[in-house]
Order: sequence, then structure tokens, then C-alpha cells
Amino acid sequence: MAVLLEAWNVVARRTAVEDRLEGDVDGWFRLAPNQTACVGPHLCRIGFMHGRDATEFLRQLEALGLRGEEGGTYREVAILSPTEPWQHTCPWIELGHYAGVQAAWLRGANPEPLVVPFSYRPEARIFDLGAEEAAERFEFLRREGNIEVYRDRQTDQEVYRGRTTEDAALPEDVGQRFLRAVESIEPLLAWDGIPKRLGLLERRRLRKGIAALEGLTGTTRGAWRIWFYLGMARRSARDAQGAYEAFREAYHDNAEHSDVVREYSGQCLALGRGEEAVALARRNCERNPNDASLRSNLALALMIADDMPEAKQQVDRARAMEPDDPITAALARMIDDVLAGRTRRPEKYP
Amino acid sequence: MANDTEHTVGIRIEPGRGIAFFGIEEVNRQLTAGRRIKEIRPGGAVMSKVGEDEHNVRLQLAGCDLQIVFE
Repeated sequence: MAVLLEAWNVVARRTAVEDRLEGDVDGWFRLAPNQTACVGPHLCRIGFMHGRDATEFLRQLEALGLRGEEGGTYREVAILSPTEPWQHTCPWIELGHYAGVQAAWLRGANPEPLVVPFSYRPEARIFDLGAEEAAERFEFLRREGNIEVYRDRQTDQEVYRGRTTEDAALPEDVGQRFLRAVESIEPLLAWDGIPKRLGLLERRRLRKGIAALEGLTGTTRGAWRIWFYLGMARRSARDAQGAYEAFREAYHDNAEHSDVVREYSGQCLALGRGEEAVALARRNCERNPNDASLRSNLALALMIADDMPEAKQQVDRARAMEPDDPITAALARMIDDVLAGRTRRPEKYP
Repeated sequence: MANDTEHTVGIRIEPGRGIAFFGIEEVNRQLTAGRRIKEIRPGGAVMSKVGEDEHNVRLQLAGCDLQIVFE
């Protein structure tokens, strides 16, 4: 027996569900926060449209005794994309194209028949895009109950994403630990992008703060805040690649927040990832067309990406918006110098 | 599968559990191999027993089948 896979899927071994949940598979349907549950002889499945919702549901099942990830391997319940297990291995599952759809079945078992939920509609179109592609294509419009409404920029049509959790504040216990970690390291952070010179005790404090933040990243709600500060802290500890990875996670979790986009873009510049930075900075300008500093960031990204003509256009626009800003003025001089051959074009910044 | 040229596809409905589709993969495999469908025939209804008393057995429709006939 195979179960349908779409978007984000929580899949559990049926024997574990029968052993651990009250009412066995009826318990599975009672717990389901949406209408996408189905079960077969070997597996139980629920689909989600957001990874955080799937993670939250997995945590709920773990609290009820089902074994999720242990030592890098999913044991009894797993999160699966349509093509692979998410983040960890899952040796008891096989995934593949079956009966015309992407599906999963118990390894070694016959995948026949294919089981789908009653809510399944083959004509329904589900976008399966990464955070970057989704941010480029969809504009958030509003939330209607548990439905997020977006505008598809390609078709100008509204599209929808069902949610089962709120993007609320961090859970209370996590929030308190997060605040303590941030308070201890905030004076050490490199908000201007350039790590400070730190003494031995300060470096130790920063390392402890990073470890504390890393220990909180498993939270399912509001995790972007943790990843954002982890990015700032790693940058301040001169771990440019680690900072990039943390900002990317923050962006994956909250692509709408301009601070997240700005710092993620900035860290791309620090690693010389010019085109990635341009895409991010351009989007930030589209969302905030009157923010001169964001336009200045776009000009800088264009210079790193070796698009000097547009870098010049964008820095001129930024200067026209805020003629007295000294940072933009310095950037404009640098761009002029590169264009005139007086200075070599920087390939990363800082 | 009834024989080499006839294949059964069908659905089973379990209220509250989901819908199971049988036989699709085998038909897809035949189509991928280049075979062509000549005819589709009705198959049987599948009933499940939901209870009984002294005089009656109560059944409900739980699915149905179709016969796919290849050339």
C-alpha cells in the first residue's frame, strides 16, 4: 500500500499509531488538524502546506509517544517531501512515482493500492517552490482564518495556502531563553556588518550565546527570530559561512521581513554571492520602494555582481531620495571610481 | 489482472479512512510499454457488511471495479 505525497507530509507507521495513540487509527484522524489524513494497512499520512505546520504536528505526535528523529534517522514518524525525507534519513520508507502520483510505501511491502484522502482532487494545482522562488512569484495579500492569500505575479490570480499553526511569538519557555541569550550578546553584535575586535572574555561570551541560540533552533514557532540573531552572532564571531546559513534559514522561515532580507543579502555580499544578493535586494526594493538605504544596498549588490551600469543607476536613485546620506555618497564615489578605472571592482563586501 | 489483455482497476472507499485505488500502476506500465486500450468495461460493485439482524444482512457500497481491455 502506498500513500499519496504532496507538499509537506507527516507519515507514520500504522503499527506505531495503533500502539501509541488512543483509539489507534481513529486517534490519527482525531488529531489531524486538516482534512488530508488517510491510512492504509501500513502507513498513516497527513499533508501540510507549510513545513512549520508539519514540524509542529510531528512534535505533537512525539509528545504522544511516537518516535520521530533519533540520531539522524526517523524511527516511527517522519516528515517527507514528495521526493525525499526531510533533513533526516528514513530507511523504512520507499518513495517514488506510483499510480501516476508521487507516493510513499513501507520498504519491502507491495505499494498496491494507492491510498489518497477524501479531500484529494487531482485537478488541484499545488505549487512546490523553495522560499526564494515563492517570494519572487507570490505577493502576500492577507490572512483569512487559517488560509493565507497570495497574488501570483505571473497570472495575477489569487492563490491560497492552508495553515494549521499561527506565526505567533516564540513559545514562552523558548522565548525566555532566547531573550537571555540575546541580552548577553547584543553589545557584541556587528550590526554594521563588520565584526568588532573582541577580547578573550567577550569571545567566550559570544561563543556561549551562539551555543544557546543553536540549542533553540528546533522550535517550531517564530524560529526566524532565533536564526536571525544566530546569523548576527556568527557574523560577529567571523563565521561568515555559518552566518550565511543562519540568515538563509531565517529567510526561509520569514521571507517578508525586511531586516531578514537585508542581512541575508548582506551576508551574500560578504561571501561574494552577488547574484543571490541582487535578487534579494531587488525584492526588498520592490516591497519598500521609498527606502533609500535598501536601494543603496541594491546598488552595492549590483556592483559585487559585476553589473556596473545598473549599480550606477540605482545609487543615483538612492542619492536623489536621500542626498545627505554619507554611506550612499561613499558608495556612489566607489562606483564612479570603478567605472573610471581608478579602483578595482570589489568582489565581496566587506 | 484477469488475463494478459484484461486488467482490473478499481476503488475501495473506507469511510473516514480514505480512498484506495487499485490497478492503476499496472495499466500505466502497459501503456508505457506501448500497448493500447481497446475497451473499458464495467466491473462489479464491492459491498461491505455493516451489520445484520435475524432477517437481514446490511451492506453498503464500498467500491467498484472497471475492466481495462488491451489490444
